[in-house]
Amino acid sequence: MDLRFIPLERELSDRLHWFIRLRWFAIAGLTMFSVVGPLLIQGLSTVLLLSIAGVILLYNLLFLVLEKRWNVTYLIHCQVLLDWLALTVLCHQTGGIDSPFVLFFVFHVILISMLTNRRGCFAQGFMSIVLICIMIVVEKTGLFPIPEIPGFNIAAHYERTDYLLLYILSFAGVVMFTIYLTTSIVQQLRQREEKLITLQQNLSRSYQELVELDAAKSRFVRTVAHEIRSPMAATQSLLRVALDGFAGDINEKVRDLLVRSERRIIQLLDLVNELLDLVRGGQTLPEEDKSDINVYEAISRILSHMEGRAEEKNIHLKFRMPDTQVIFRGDEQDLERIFQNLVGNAIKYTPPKGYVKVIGRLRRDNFLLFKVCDTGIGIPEKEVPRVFDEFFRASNAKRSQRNGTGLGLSIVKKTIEKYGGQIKLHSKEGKGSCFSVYLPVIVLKDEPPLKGYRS
Amino acid sequence: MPKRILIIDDDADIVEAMRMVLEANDFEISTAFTGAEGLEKVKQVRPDLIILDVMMEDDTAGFRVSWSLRNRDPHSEYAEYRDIPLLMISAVSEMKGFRFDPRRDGDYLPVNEFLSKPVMPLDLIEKVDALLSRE
Repeated sequence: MDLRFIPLERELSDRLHWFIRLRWFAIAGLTMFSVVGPLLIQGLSTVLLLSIAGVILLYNLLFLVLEKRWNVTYLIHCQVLLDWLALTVLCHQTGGIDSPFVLFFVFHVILISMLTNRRGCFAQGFMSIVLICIMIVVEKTGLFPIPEIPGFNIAAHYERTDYLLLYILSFAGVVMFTIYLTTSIVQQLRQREEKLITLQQNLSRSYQELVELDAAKSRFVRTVAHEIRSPMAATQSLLRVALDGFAGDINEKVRDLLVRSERRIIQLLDLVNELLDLVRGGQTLPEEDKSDINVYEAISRILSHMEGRAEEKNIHLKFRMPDTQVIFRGDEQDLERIFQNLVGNAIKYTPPKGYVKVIGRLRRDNFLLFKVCDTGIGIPEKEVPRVFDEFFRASNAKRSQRNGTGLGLSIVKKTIEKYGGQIKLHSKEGKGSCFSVYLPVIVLKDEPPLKGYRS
Repeated sequence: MPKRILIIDDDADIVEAMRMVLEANDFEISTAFTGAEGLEKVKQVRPDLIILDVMMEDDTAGFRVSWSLRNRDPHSEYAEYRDIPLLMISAVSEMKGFRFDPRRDGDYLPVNEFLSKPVMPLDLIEKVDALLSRE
């Protein structure tokens, strides 16, 4: 999860940078216009227009230098003020109130609304109105007369004071209204962004708390399990010493009692071990504890340890996998947990002369699909949705085998899901079960692609 | 003369179980219940083999005993005991979620062999005999 919070100061300085960059385009455009403009429209002066572009270029360079040194808000206001001045002079040079560049005031107003706060915007908007007023006054009084542009009767507009007043009023209206609209939208967006950031922070805090809680729970279970296991290990060791005759001869009745006791101890040890596995299965693995495991080799190794059990029951254990180098990034013990449980169950609940097949297939989305299928007792349809629940054992499984904690499949599911994988079950009572395991893997590209199978 | 075995383990019942098995096989047994006590006993009894638990006074007491004994410094106070075979017995691998493999982790954990809890008498004798190359 990326929950970066961009402080306002950072955001402003980013915008400032953007503002300076935009100005290079304005300078380029104005420079082009100062060459092309006078050719098309008589009365425009290339030198004057170029010098305005030059001044903007100079102060933009200055701001580029100051960008990192001065207070950001201060810099933005300075820039806007200088832009207003340059724009006013440009308008004056290109026809006063009739200059098409007057429109750029509105464009600028929108820009500053995005850059700075509402009060600052209105102040700047007011400044632009004052500048336009000053321009009109100096032009009307003839202090700085507008350059003549042949064919345009600009002077006529300046003779009508009512028209000038209307002009100023509508200019002020457009500027202020634009600021109002733009800042409203910007404010709304900012509020929404703030809300989103708060939400994200809350979410990440809750997530962190959950992770810590889960770790504490796991630590607790581990400690308890260890505390239970130590005395049981000692008990079993002592029973074994007696059973193996190191404490002198024992009669058959005592032996029977000891054997029964040992069986219960082993049962309890299994339960504790599986509880530990359940806790570990759900724990996310730190990156340094992961290793690259050759899936084919690892599963072959796990299955070879189970061959004996299958042979004992006269069950045919089969393994097929694509002839591709496939790497699983994780803990080898997790792979063991998954396949020992699934294949162990398959052998356990399949009658003699049956089949247990483990078939791997590489999918296009880089998931390895393993099917662990058997011709065993299956699972009653009604109970299929519950088989992954902790401590749940199918009714026919309980009848067929007394021993079992009902934790195996929940361990498998948790472990698979820890890696972003999935497990699905198809089963028919009396016919057999088929578990589909999806595990994310890395395919080594330089190896031959899916071709033959080895088994 | 019977071979001497030092058992360092904080679980008195495990110690008793091992003592019975080993004494029945003509070994002379000494015991210690902490790592520190174990190191003292090493100097006193000069055992031929040490059976070492991991979690005693703290989670890694057994590791520290093995590192002290196998210290490569020739002036170490345990230099003369460096070659005594070490049989590490523990369920620590399950507890911490890692497994030691003496072939792979030999340098890291300088012990000769591992034995898991609960202790199976025949397994114990087999490993002890192998370490002392006794037929």
